[in-house]
Amino acid sequence: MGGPKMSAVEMRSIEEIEKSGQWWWWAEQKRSKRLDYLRKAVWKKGAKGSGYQPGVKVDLERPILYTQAFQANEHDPLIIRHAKALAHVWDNITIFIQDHAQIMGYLGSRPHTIVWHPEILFLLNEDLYNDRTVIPEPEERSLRIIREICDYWNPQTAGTKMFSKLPPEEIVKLMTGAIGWGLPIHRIGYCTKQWDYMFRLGFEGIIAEIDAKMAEAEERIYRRVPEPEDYEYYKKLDIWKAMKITLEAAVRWARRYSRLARIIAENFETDPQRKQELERIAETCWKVPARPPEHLWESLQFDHFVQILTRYEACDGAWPARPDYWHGPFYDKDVNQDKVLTKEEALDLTGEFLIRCYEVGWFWLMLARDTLQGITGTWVWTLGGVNEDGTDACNDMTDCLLEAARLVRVANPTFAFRYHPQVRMQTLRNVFECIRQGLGYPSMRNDPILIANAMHWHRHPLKEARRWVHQACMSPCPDTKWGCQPFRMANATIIAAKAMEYALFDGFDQVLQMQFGPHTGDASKFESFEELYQAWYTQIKWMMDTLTKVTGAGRYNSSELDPRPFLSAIYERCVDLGVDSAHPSERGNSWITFFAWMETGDSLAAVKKLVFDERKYTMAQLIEALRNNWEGYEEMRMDFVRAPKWGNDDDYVDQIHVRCHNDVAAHSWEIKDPTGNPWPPLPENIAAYVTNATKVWALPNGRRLGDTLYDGGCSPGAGLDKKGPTAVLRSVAKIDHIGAVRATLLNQRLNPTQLAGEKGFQIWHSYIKTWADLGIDHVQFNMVDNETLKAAQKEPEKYPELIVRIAGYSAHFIDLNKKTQDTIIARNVQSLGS
Amino acid sequence: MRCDKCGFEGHKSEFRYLYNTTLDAETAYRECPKCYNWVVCNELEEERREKAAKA
Repeated sequence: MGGPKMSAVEMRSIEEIEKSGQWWWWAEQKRSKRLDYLRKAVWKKGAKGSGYQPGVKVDLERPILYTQAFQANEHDPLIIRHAKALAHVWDNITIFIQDHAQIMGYLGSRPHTIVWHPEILFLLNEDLYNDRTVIPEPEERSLRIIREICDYWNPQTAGTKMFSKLPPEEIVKLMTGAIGWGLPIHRIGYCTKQWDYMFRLGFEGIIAEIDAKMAEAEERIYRRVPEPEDYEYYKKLDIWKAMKITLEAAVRWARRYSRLARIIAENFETDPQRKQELERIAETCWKVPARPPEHLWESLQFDHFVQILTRYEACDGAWPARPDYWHGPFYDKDVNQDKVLTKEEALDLTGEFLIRCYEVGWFWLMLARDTLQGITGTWVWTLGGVNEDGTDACNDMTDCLLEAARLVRVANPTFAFRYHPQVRMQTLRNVFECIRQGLGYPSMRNDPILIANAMHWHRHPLKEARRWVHQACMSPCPDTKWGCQPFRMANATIIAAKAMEYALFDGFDQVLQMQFGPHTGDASKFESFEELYQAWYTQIKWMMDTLTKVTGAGRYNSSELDPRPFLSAIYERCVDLGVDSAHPSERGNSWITFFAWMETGDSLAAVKKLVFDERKYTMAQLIEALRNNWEGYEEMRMDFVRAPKWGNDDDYVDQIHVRCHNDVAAHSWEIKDPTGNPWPPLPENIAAYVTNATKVWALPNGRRLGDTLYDGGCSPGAGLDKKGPTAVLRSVAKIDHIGAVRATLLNQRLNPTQLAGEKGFQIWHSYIKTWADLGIDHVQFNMVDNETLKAAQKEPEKYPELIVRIAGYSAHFIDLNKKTQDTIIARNVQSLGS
Repeated sequence: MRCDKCGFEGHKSEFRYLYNTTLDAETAYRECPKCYNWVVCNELEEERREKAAKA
């Protein structure tokens, strides 16, 4: 297989396509025949706007099998019931092998299906029952089954049980979305994976460790009179038993693929080359994940199996991974040393590895789909960085992944690159090439800053901190025994701009029309800027406190109410201690995502200037204008829009932003999660800057209810950065990126024409060096011009593969709603080096 | 202001405000109350016109 081919659709030469910037046609011609087939055969599972793509259906096998086993084992402890339910799914769900595929494992029983986890949340279940677009045929039968499953699970979902632990008023706050995004549930989260443990032992090795632990426990409690501290082993035994059930079942599931591959090879396949591939697949799936991998095809297969297995267990909304670090040694051995794999073969495997990730999907709440338009979850893979000893970790697998990404052009996973001063140049050029070809990724992360940041906030030792991966789209978390975090709950999120709204309206929510925050006084009577600032600070602290109380409750109670036996089994910490993964014993990585953060400083600066410094308006006039959503006050609104804005290197407004950051960071240390960690802020937005536009009332920065919020975490408002890219960097550098935030997101748009060729790389590299020297932790780029974006809005069918960076993730442009598309077009295009 | 699709005419505030793409843009999208068409509105110009009409 392999070799370039000319598409029937696009007959232009490679050179012409390169010149036009239509890189998706370039990719189609450059990739192998196998990758071309697999890329085109994939079913896109991310939502288009907020609805699923036509033809995508919910898979009913997994919920039926899970429910059957859960019902059949009702007298077992909860964690064992979940383990047996998973085992029943893996032993019985339909499996298949796609033509030309080399990597096995699918989430669901058919290529077009998305899985449904009915045990998670009753709201999700009812959302499905009412969403007729994804119900499989015959509809009547499917609806009857779904209703039965809903009726069984709704009274006992993880969400139902968690609600019983919370006061009703806290639940109301969570459901509004102003505080919390989703619910604090173990099965809706982002879990780091501990690859050194799995690759070192394989599942059989872990089972042997569990057996030894169980034998020791039985010795303590069955064969002698237990000491008081030994009684906890009764509980631990159940947890170890549950872990073992899932590991054994996972091996059986992988070996079903092995048998299927062998059956096809021996009985049906006529192509000798494919027959040979199927035989290798059979050997691989027999070996991994049972035993440690020894070749690249085995390590990639092991990795993908684990990713699918954990998603059969739960909705892992993120995909923390460092594939070059963990697969790099296998690449080096197979391709460079033993030469059992050619570069082209490795590239094919790696491209398929990306496609296999892209095809993963599940049925999810419309609210979440809307906020993650175009993708299933924020699957940001980490590349580059340093080794534990501080040397450059880039390797040939890094380059292979970057090259594969350009060939398959998937919107998920995306990459984030850990930049450091010693990074090897060939890899940096590869990074730039991905950005230049309009993928919107890798995002750039400042490695020395983020290592220091991890040590500052969560006490990771230096070597451990150097092992960090993106736990979601932004937050670094080490993938070590004590670093892996089992779930960072997406609900640990606030719409920070609401604190400004509450400060201006005495804690009253103008959108929800109810008293939400504490009373901080009638703002129309405030006589100084300081009064307003303190009202805001009271409100934001109240939001952080309210949120973390609920999130902490979720974390603390999850090991009892919502255990995850499989995830626990692949954590060395949990096997050692005999605890569920949710048990708060890791060093961990808590943070609060601040949606809509930078409106605060701009709003405060506008009030300071126009009300308290220049006295052009009174607070009473401002409150009246805001109460009317600026309707009838357009000239006044424009005055507030023209007040100093973030991103222009203007200390008047920048220092207010810095003060807000520092004060919030100080409060982070006053609130602790169940592991004893502080709650640092992490400002970013995914697509929430669009979906939250109707949840935040008018603000003094000049926005109205409905206007999109600022798109990044420290990005200027769209079009409000008037003084060029260096001024943006200078503003952003005023934030302490180690001590004031866990991370913060900067979106920039660059001019693709200016960055062509070697000169383009040199300009960009110089910008990156400045960015790094200024100590900024993140930057990501869109490099698609407005002409192309507007053409895609007009004729989407001609631009099916056009990718853009949203905020923390990438998506195909045509999968976004018009408002989100408009916001990307509205971002200023920066000219570097000017 | 007037809907360019169905011809409905009314006060700016009758057209529900949707959004503008940048805060400093003078134009914004509003929604026609009759046919739900998106109408582009020059906010400042429209407000001045209405104030002048009132005067």
